[in-house]
Amino acid sequence: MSAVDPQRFAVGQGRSRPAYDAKGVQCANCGAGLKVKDERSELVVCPYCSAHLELSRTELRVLGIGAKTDVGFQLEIGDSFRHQGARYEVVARLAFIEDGDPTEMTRQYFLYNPYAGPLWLSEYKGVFDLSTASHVMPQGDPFALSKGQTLATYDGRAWICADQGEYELHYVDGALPWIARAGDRVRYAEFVDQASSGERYEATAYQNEREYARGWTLSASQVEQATGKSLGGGMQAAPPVAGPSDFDPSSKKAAMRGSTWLMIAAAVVAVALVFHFIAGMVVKDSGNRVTRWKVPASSLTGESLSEPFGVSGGGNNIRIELLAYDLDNAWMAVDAALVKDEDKVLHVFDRDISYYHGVEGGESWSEGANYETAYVKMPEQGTYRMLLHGVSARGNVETASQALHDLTVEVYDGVYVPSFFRYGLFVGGAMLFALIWGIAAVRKKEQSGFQMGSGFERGAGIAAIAVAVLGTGTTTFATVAGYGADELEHPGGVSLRQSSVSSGGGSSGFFVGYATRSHLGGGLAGGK
Amino acid sequence: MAMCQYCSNAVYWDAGAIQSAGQQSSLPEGFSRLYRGAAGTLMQKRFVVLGRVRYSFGHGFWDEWFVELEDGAKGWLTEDDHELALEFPAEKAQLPGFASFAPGQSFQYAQSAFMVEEVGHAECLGFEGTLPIVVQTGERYPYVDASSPDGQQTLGIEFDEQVPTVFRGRWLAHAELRLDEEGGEW
Repeated sequence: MSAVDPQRFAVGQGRSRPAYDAKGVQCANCGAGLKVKDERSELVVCPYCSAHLELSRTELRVLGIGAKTDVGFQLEIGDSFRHQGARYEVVARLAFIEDGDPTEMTRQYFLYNPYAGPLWLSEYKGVFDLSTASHVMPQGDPFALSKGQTLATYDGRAWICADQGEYELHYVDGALPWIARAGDRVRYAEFVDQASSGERYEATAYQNEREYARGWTLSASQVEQATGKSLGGGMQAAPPVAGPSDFDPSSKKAAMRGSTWLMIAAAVVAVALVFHFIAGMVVKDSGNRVTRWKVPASSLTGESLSEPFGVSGGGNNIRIELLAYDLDNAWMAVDAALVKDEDKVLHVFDRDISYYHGVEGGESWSEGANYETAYVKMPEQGTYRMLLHGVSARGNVETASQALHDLTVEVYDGVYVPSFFRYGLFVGGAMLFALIWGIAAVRKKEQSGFQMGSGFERGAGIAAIAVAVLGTGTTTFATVAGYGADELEHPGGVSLRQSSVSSGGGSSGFFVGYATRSHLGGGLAGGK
Repeated sequence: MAMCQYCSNAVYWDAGAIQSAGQQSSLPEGFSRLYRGAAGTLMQKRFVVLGRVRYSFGHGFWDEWFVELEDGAKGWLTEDDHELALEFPAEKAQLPGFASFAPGQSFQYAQSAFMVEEVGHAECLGFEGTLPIVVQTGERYPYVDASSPDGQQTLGIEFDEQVPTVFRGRWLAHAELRLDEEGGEW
């Protein structure tokens, strides 16, 4: 491309907009002065003498005199219709009948705005539809379908035939961009969105042309709001529809409509994610510490019983934190038991703690952590102790029979388990990613042409909002209700003395069978 | 080619000299969102409107606005009943003769499917501003207008030479074009 002077394209360098001024013509029949709003008008009907005038390039030609007939139009030529902040004006009106039956009348209003595309407002038995031209082609012949049959269009949409037939033009006035005459016949086929979005697809065949349009049904209040007129009786309550703000091929707002639901859903999911993150952080540190016990390595190798600690209420969850502060490129296997009344073992569990780190290829890495956590639900208030045994080893040693590292145990009473909020973060993160991807895909599709929001996007958005709201409620309820902690393994209690055994090597105790533990995989051999 | 906005005489450059194309009919202004000399943003690029040609199809007309984008690209904004399409000259290809096309018919161009929306004869009604071609008021040629079945792309075929001239583009949503001075209340 050749270099261009960027100054030519700077904002404000363009010429000022020429003013709009309706075209003044004189009726060739009665001499009345007429104002033609749309320069594309080919037919003008004189409101004074009803002469149908053809606007050729050189002169007005009288085509005939139309009959003055009251066909029950609710809007007059010149009435305004506001849509998406723009004022349209009724510049032409047509009335069609079907099968020669004047009671089967469809009234159409041609809405004009010099800066936007024209709109068509149709009314049949008090129900109004607003439509505009579409270039999306049908797959197959829309006029060959019967009521209830399905039509697919090349934008991936599916439509159900609502009606089809042939109109006869009964009456016309105003100014139209083509020559229309009473008696002209128009084939039509009307379809409604199979996804129940309320959108309509229309096909018309007139002379040698086929045209397609997309439309929406408007409620009585929407029409009255747009026209500023009270339309009185005869108007029916239309089915639930999207408002005019949702329908405008010429506005960015409408171009976004298809993605609006997804954006709202993404916002709701994002709020839910923030809630889950904050709640998880709060819950992670919940509870009151009831004991802190440092077990030296030498004691850990055998079995150590802690000082008693209290659980303040039946049904409380406790959090047991096993902290091996000096575990560095090493691992520790811990066996623990909760003991009540000096002798009753209610719960046995084990944890593997490993923490490795290093530098490889100039990049540092780390694996694991030097602590582990257990959550246990305590059915009874009371005094408890912990019985501990542990072994540890450094580096890549795979088995150990004694502890080389100290262990600190902290017990917190009355805690909440954060795991549900963590699951919610994971699910919510995946949903948000999918929604953002969906929004980008839909907006790209919308910006390349007129695209109304489809039922799929609305459905996906609503589903995502429902999952986010219900999911948040569920995770919150589960956490507050105390779910997520381990149930006691031996609620009835197992005698500590009776369960303690002796090994052939002279060791004895509750955990004697776990004297030697293994740690496979990971570590320095696993590396990064 | 350029037309004097004061006296409506058109001139063009040919064989190293300025040639006069004579007085041309002036086109009305103010009835469209676009106008000669307008500036704005189109698909995130700044553009200016350099000129316009108006064609009749027998029972109506459309305008072709010649535009230049800030990256140097030049194309045509076709405005038909206020609908806008941005088109650029495409590769000439062997296509069936004009008589072979009919509304609703499908055909292939450059491995893409198109459906004929309209066939007719265009007649130049006038022009204004600066244009990259030499046109004469009254000149006629057959044309075919088509769109891709999904309604996104446009194809205009002008049977003005032995091998027809092809313009390819896409329909624009109203929001894709922003003028520095938009029309307000009218």
